[in-house]
Amino acid sequence: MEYLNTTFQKDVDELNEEETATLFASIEDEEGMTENAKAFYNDLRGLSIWHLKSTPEYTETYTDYEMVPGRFDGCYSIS
Amino acid sequence: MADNNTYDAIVIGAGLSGSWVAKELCDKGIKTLMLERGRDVKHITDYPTTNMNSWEFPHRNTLTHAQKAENPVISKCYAFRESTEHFFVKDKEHPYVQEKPFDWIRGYQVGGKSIMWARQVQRWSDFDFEGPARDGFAVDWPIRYKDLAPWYSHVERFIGVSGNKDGLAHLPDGEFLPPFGMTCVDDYFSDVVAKNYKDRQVIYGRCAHITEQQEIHRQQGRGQCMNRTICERGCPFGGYFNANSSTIPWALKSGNLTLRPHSVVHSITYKEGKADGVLVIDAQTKESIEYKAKVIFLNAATFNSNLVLLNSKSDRFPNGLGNDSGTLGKYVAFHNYRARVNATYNGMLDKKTDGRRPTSAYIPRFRNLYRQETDFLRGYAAGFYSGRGSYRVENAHGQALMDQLTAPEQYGPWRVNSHMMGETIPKADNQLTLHPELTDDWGIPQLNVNIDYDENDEKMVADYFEQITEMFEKAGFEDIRTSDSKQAPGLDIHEMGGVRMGHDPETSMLNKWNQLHACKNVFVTDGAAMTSVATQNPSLTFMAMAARSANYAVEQLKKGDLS
Repeated sequence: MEYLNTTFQKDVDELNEEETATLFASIEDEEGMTENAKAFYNDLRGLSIWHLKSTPEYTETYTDYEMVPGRFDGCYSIS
Repeated sequence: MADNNTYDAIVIGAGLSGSWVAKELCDKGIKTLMLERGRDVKHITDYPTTNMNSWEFPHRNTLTHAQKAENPVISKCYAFRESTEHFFVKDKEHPYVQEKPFDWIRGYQVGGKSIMWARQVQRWSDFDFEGPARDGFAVDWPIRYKDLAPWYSHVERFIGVSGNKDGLAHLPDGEFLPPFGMTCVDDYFSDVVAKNYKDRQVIYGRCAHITEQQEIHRQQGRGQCMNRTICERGCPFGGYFNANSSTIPWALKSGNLTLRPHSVVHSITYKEGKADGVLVIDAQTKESIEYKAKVIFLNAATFNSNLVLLNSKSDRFPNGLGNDSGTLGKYVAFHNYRARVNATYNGMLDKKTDGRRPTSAYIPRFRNLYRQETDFLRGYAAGFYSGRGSYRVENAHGQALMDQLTAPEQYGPWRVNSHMMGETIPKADNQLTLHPELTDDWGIPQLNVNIDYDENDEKMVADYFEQITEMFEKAGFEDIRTSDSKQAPGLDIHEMGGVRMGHDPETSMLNKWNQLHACKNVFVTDGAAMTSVATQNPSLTFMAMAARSANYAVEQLKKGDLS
C-alpha cells in the first residue's frame, strides 16, 4: 500500500496496464519481499500463465499440439 | 438340476493375466466364472476421460493438494492423474501395513492394471530362467525358455506387439508388428554404443500396440494406435492391449464366461483332498456367497494372490492353502527403479520429432550375462528416451509478456534420459504375512508387507550410474546428472513372488505347470508365481504363463485328472 501510494498515488485497481506491469516487475526485484510473498507471487504468476496457455484458443493458435497425431517421425527436419 | 453357483472353472481376478486364463478356458468350452473385486469397466463406454483435452479438466489434469494428502501412496504413481484417478484404488479404502516402506499400487476394476500399464513387453531368455541355478540364489525354475516360447508367440499375435527383430540371445525376438520408429538421437546413441561396446545394444522398445491391424485384431474390434499417448485413460481404438478391449469381450462372446464384478474373494475352500470352490464376500452388500468349481485359477495380482492363499486355512493347510513348504509369502522381490541419468545433446539441432509415440528406446541387460563380472549379482535393463522440447522465454510483464507468449516457439537442445530397471534377489525375509489384528472393510486380514532393498541393490545403482555416464560421455551428451530417488520399493509396480515355482515341494509352492504342488486343482499364473524377477517388464511373461497353464488345465480336466 505504501509502495502504491509513493510510486503511483493510486489504488491498485486504478493502475493502467503499463503501471501494473511496472508494479509486478518491481515486486520481483523488491528486496524487502518476504519468502512467502515471493512464493505467492511466483505461484500466482505461474498459474496465470498456465491458465492462458491451457486454453483451447492459445493451444490451437500458438502450439502444434494435436490430440490425435496418427504419426511419429523421429527425425523431422526443422526448416 | 443345475446349480447356479457351480462352474467348471473359477478365475480369481479379471486383470491382465486372469483375462488370459478366462479367454483360453472359454475358447475350449470350459464354463468359467471370473470374479473381480472391483466394478465393471466396459471398453470405450467406461473410459470417461479418454477424449478430453486438458482444458476440460477442472485442474488441467493435475492432482490437487487434497487428492495427494488423501492418497499419499497412490499419488506417487506416475500414472495417477486427474484423467486416470478413477482407475486407481483410494488409499483409505484399501489399507495395508508397511512394516517396511512399500508403495503398493493397485487398480481394482475389471481390466485391473491392464488399463494403465506401460505396455512395455519383452520375452525372457534362458539367461533369466537359468539365473537362479547358475548364480546360486532362489531355486531353479522348473521351466525354460523353450516351454514358454510358443505361448509368447500365441499371446503376442493376439494382443499385437510392435517391435524390431534385433537377433539378441538374451532378449528373444517375438511376433512383431512394425515399429513406431526411433528418433535420430536414439539411432545415433545406438551407433555410438555399438561402436564402443561389443556386448551392449540400444534397441527399439517393444510395446503392446497395434501398428498394423491384423485379422485377429479386426476380429477383436481393435484398430490401429493413433499415437495419442494417453493410453492410461483407456483407448477408444483399442490401439493398445488391455483386457477390457480384447481378452474379456472375446471370452464373453464364447458364451462360456460369467463375469461377476464386486466380488471380493475371502478364501479358496478345501474339502476332501482338493480345493472345491471360492468364498466370495460381495463388495457392496457384504453378503457371503460360495461358488464351486473343479479347477481354480488365482490371478488376483501378486500380493493379493499371496493374501488369498494365506487366508485359505484348513486343518490340512493351517498356514495357508498349499503351504507345506512354509515358503508362501516369502521370496517376494521387485524391480529397482531408483536410478536415473539425464543429459542434453547439442547435436542434430536441425532435427526434432513430429507426432508422438507410446514407447521409447531400450537397453537390454548387459551386466553379468555370460560370466560374473561385477561385485553384485545379476544386472539391469534401462530405458532410453530422447526428445526435443520447445519453449518460450516468459519473463516479461504486461503486453511484453503477451508478446513473448505469442512469439514463435524455440527449440532447446535434445534431452536424453535413462532409468534403471534392476533385478532384485528374492530372499526369505522379504515377505508378506497376514496382520494378526487389522482387517479391511470385508473382514479380511490386512496384508503386512516387509520388503526392502539390500546391498546388491545399492551396488547395482552405483554401477548403473557409472556405466550409463560413460556411455553418455562417449556420445558427447553433456550436463550428465545422475539421481537416486531412494524411493521405497513398489513404484516399479513389478512386485513378484511369494508363491514361487520350483521342482521341489519342500522349497516351492508351484510345479512347472503353475499348479500348487500340494493341491493340483489350484493354479497361480500371475506375478506371485515368479521364482526370480529378471530385468524385463513382466506382464508378457505373466500372460504367456497364464495361457500355457490354462491350456494344460483344460487337457487335465478333459482327462478327468484334476480331482
